[in-house]
Amino acid sequence: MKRLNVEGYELRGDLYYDAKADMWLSVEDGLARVGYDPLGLEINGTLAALVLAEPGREVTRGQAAGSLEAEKFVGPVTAPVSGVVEAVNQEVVGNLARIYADPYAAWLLAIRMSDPSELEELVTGDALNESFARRLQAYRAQGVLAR
Amino acid sequence: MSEVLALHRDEGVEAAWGLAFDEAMAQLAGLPELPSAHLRLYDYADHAVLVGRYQRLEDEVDLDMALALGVSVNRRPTGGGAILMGREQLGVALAVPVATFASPREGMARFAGGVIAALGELGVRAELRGKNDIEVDGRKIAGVGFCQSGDGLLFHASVLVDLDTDLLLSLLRIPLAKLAAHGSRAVEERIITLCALGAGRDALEQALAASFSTMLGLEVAEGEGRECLERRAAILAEERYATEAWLFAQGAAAAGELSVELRSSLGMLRVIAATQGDVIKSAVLAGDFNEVTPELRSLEEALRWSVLEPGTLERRLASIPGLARLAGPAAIAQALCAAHASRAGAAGPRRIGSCYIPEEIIL
Repeated sequence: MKRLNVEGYELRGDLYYDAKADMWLSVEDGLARVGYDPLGLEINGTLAALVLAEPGREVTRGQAAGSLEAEKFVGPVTAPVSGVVEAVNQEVVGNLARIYADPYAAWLLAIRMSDPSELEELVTGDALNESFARRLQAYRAQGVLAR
Repeated sequence: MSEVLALHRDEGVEAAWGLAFDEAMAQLAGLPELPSAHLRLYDYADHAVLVGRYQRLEDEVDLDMALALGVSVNRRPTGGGAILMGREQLGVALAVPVATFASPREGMARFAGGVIAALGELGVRAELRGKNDIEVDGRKIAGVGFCQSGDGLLFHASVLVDLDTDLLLSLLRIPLAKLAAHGSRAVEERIITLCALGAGRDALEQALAASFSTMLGLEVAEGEGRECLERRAAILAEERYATEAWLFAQGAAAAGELSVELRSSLGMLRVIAATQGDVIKSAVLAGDFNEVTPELRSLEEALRWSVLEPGTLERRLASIPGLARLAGPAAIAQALCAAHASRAGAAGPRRIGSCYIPEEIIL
């Protein structure tokens, strides 16, 4: 597994990243496990409440798959891919502090993907460095992230 | 879609209807033949307590007291703490299609900017602090919130025209209410109202309409699309806001309360914190000190939104300049986390806080 470090943020080359949802995805046999990436956690701040779509519900890429209340943001949890929710990681939802210990161990939703071509819109592998640097730049320009 | 900003004014609305109409605006904003955005300026009938989307009603409100006083209760679709609404609190709701802003974050900042600009027209210099406090010289005058419903975004602000602090403290289970006689004074020290500033509500309403009209580049059209909104609101009120399932919905994490005493260089320091799950949502520091030092202010600010895990909390507190002179970060972190751990699993009061009280409060 290739680990990258961009300005102090740890990224993993074997995962997909969605810049709009601020999430990572691990994909195996059409099942995507998704969780917040380190930058997503930073711009949301400490999470206080997380309500996620229940198993069996269809979600659409870019649309709400739940909602959250956090230190810096209250709003939707955005689905990074379309499909049907197969599982919610209740251990993490019930103990949100676990996300901060290891964001990559704290998957939130398992989504059975309905459109695998959506992976082409995500970022992985060698493209991560440049893409992530752009995200950082954009968030700083918006004032969401300290310079 | 009609390229106008529809303006709706309501007075003395009932809680379920007030909330349902707001959400109807979000759901219908920008639909064909309807206004592209809606602005609503309104108040509730005296009085209504509205808890945040993720709060537990029974944790936040003294329901017996509410019943005895004839105060209605309900749940907002937006996050944040409990608020007391009535004829002296101006509700400001703006609904726009999702695509209006690049992101909800940007929308929230611009909405708050619109409220701040309107206050500025009245000579009130306000600023956004944190994600949902609008303050004037460090005292809160409005809280802002946000949610998405359908393909619309709903931004909400509650502006304090005036506030009955005794009523607030008798109804809401917040840390300040634990301070008995000091609570009302402490609230009054931390909030500011339009009345106290000598600013008029009518003037603010005019300024708000102008501010959002300019921001969105839309002409104001009084009452446009109202019939459709009322039909939709009636459905939402019946199916959601008037139901017990909505009122008593359970949040994702249990709310709770901590109270610990610490030795400090200023004498005994009492920390009263409202928690949700493992997170401190608001805190009050009390003690025998006469002056609020920068270290005390910084400590309270750092406690807010802290995760109650000893190592994480100690690292956060260790970054406060001068805190070690007051009390050791490790001692503070361990005391709070130990109290949290001992309370875990025990049935107890569950409280979070109030939108009206700035979340950093020092007595």
